[in-house]
Amino acid sequence: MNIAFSKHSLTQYRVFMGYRYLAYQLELKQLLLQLKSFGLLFLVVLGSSVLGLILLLFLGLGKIIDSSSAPQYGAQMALFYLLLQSVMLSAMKSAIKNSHQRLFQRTIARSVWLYLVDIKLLTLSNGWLIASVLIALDLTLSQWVKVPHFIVFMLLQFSLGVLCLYKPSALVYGFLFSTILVLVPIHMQPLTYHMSFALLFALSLFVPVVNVNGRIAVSSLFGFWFCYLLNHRWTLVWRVSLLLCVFMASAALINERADLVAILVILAMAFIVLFSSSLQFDCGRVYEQYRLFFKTCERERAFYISQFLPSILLFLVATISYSVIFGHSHSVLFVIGNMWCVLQVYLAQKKPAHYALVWIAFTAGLLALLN
Amino acid sequence: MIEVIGLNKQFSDNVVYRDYNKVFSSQKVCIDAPNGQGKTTLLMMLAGLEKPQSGTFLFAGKTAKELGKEVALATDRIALPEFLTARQIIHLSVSTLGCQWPEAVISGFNFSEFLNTRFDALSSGNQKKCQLILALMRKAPYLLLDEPSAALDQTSIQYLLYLLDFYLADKPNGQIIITCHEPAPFVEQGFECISL
Repeated sequence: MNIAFSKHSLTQYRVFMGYRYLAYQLELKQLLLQLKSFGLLFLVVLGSSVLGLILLLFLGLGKIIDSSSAPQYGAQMALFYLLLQSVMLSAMKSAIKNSHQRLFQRTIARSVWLYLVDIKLLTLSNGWLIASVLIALDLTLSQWVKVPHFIVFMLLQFSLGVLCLYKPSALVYGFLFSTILVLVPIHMQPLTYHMSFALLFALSLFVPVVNVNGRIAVSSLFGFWFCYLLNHRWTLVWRVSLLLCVFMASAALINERADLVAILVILAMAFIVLFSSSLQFDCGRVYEQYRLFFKTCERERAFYISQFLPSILLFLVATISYSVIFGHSHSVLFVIGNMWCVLQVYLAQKKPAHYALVWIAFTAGLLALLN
Repeated sequence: MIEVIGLNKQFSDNVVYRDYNKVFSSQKVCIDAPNGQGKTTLLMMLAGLEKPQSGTFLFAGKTAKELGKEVALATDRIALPEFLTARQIIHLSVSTLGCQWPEAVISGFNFSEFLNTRFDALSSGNQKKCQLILALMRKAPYLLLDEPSAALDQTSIQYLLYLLDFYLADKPNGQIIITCHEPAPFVEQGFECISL
């Protein structure tokens, strides 16, 4: 009787797992389709450099493992990895949890199954953790003894994935506290750093969520866009994370190859333009969605113009930050960058099919001008 | 009085209006027509939110110069920012239009307790109330309401009828046009029921 019941349950679970896996695949396909606005760009630039990106991923992991000589740098790198992982998982969260059909799932499966499949799909989706595990499997016992912090790092990778699914607010607080920790110039061992991260993220679980959204008085277009970005922070978070990537890569490369600084600055500028101007794809959609509402408020023209401001502001903040951090402020490049960003924003709005092509041509043109 | 002259409107191959002429002479008009006949589209065009291929709209015998000030429309077709609370949406409209905060209408619809709820979390009835509040607070001479009683509870319908009863008291040239599939309560309040 019991065996028959268990078999039946197992079959049910498998059917449910099959459904979730199908939903996961379908939603991921949809997610990839959304990247079509970058289509050509991803194929031409990122597509050809996938191998390089994977190598960089392992190179970074190497720095995290072997951080005894520079623990603070290693800790910063680890935190940066965790941030990128969280950004990626946040993008995939809906696919992992099959969020849109969550209530339906509850009607056909036990609660525990839902969480079990969530964790399975989360592990499957976490390429960053898989990369760490691959490296971990390659380590010998004597090497393990020297890098105990790497175990904590992998545990953090897994735990932050779970937080991303069920308690994203803790993720935000945890990153905030941990960033402060890695920026404070104190000497700590790598293990202490990683244990501190774990502690900070654990404590973040108990920090209450502050909902500022409803408390903001929206009386202008500025308030409207502010609330939009606050409620759709994902559109900014992934861009800011990638901009951080650009900044960190710049710092490392300028340090290694000071002779290539001109090329590196142009490349950094190109990516700043790319990540900031692409925000227009989102803002353009918002404009289309609420155009009629603002027309009834007699603010259609102002609303039209305002849709371009988030991209331009992001570009200005990123460019000025880059100039301040790296001390490479060049007025001509700044003006060119501004004009380029405006052009890309225009293309994102009017001719999205040409967006990627123009960006590549412009980047290649600027690099060619250097020679 | 609103007059529609020679209206032509089509969406790709779907012709909604072909050389359509109509005079809405009553002060309170209820348009009753089957789904897909273009009731909402007509209201959208009257409010200047959608453009016809050709045709003219006359308001009291003249083309409106400032449609935004003369016509107020409540319809599901105007997407409201779903990430804002009802209070923020109303506040934004009040600020941009320079109206007064519609305290009386909000409490009349028993909407006060939902002001701090995000628009996408409101029930369909409360979303409808929010649309109605936004249109009514403008006090425009021409009030166009698309399915105003849809999803509303009986108390709210009664309050809406009460408001509409007095709406034109200070607007001698004003007009209320609604679309409705259940016109009986509106007809009882003096609305003339017409087909398209």
